[in-house]
Amino acid sequence: MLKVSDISASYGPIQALRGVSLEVSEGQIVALLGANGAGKSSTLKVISGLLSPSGGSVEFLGQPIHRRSPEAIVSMGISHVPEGRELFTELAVEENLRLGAYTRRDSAIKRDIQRIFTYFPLLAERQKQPAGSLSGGEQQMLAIGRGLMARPKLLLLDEPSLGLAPTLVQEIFQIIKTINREEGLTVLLVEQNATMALSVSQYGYVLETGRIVLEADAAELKDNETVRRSYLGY
Amino acid sequence: MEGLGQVSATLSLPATFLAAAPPWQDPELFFSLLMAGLATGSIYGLVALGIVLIYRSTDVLNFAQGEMALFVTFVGWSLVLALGAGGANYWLIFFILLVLAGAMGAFVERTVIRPVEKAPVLNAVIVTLGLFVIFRGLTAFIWAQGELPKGFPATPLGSHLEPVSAWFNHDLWGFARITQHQFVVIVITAAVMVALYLLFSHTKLGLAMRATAQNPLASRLMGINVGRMLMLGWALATMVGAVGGILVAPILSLDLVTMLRVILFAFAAAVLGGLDSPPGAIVGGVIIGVVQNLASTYSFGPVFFGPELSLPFALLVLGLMLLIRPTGIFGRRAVRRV
Repeated sequence: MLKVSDISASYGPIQALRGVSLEVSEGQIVALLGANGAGKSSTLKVISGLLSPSGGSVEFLGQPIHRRSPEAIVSMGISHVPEGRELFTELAVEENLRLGAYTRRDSAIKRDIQRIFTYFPLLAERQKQPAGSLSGGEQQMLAIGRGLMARPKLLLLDEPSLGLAPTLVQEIFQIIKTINREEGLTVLLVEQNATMALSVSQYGYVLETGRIVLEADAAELKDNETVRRSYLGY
Repeated sequence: MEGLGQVSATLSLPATFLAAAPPWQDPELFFSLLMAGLATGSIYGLVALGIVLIYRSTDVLNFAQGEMALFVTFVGWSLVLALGAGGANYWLIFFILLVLAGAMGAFVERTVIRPVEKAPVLNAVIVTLGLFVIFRGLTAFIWAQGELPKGFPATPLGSHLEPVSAWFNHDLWGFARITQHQFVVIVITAAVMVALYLLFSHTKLGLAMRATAQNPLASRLMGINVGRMLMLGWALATMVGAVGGILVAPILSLDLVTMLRVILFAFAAAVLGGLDSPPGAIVGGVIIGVVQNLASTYSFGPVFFGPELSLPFALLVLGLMLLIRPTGIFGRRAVRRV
């Protein structure tokens, strides 16, 4: 479904990615692991069009997308839930969700908002409140919900666990898993919390200083000596 | 600062600069001053609204707002002279001017604002000051080679001397003493506000514009064409500002300082209401218009400002507001830039 080949990218003089290649097949949850600054978020930004690569290519459903604008890429079915959530903090929860569906022209938007509320009931109680007034966990739920409102084929999730209490993290990952199972949503998940990420994904890549250094089935990665030492901490 | 001050002065004041009788002795004068303040304040408010719309979406203070409106108003003057201002003609011209203003705003955003969008704030300030000079120069070059000021022919906006009761054949419970022009200004300002309210809170486009103003990065991820929204924002703001210019033209004669008189009060109004609050712009404008009108007529104890001091008075209001509450009455973000 998604094929990233030999991508390099930089922010000014700082090279963030040095030839990253990865693949995500339909229906999978794929984890992209790595330390801070390894290039995880940059990889997602290249895929969603926020960062244009200096080399390599990105193909989605057989079409090259690495020269397209973020707007065009959303319309093709890739939703990016970015690092730091990037909510519209002064707009109401419900308005944030409606903006998630901005590219859609169909009439099922209202129904989809209700569907998001069944996944995240806490949001339903707060629909008229400004997004900035929500707790960290609720904001993350809203960010994911907003991403889902575009009815994406592929969801790019950047650090959904960041700054959240462990029970909330568990809850959010359960919901991601449910949506993946029930709706066949494909997910590319960036995480520092490797244990959590590998527990829900089928396949994983490990990034180090802008390069993929390891890739394997999730179960295999969990047993891998290097991964255990560097990312799992035991 | 005669200009707008004169509007109220010509209303009912003799041509002396003595303080008027206090309101309880002459409530009629007080009421007409209030309405005159409301009308001139609406005009400040419209220009302020243009400033606020641009500040909200691009974080740029557009110092050229008034001069862009002046340019549009001069085009209007030429069109009125060429086509006549009779009935439907005038409204056609009004419409043409709105389209022109929108196109100008969009063009300016695309060509000179976009390149400094990510640059330091000072760059944008210098660019809008440059625009101020350009539009002023352009206006002077095209229209001021003949005689200035140019008087504006009578328009369907109504006389600024005749009371509105002449239109309704009814004294409207005393409200009809306000002039026709004041009445029209208040009605059009209210209409602009309702239209903007409907746009921003009841349409998808308006929601997208608000989203863009708040978080451009997230807006792109939602699939919003951020560049187009900023361009539309400038177009809209220039249109609103131009309405202010078009409305003020019939009462002030047109020359190169016409909008200068308005823009200073408009900036004061925008800061007073809160630089990021559209309703605040109108409220701020009305407060300043009313205060200006009252202060230039009444004495406060032994203190009498008079029309000459109404501009310093407005700037005093501005200064005090920045000291006491820098976010303005309705604003949420502190005025931290420029």
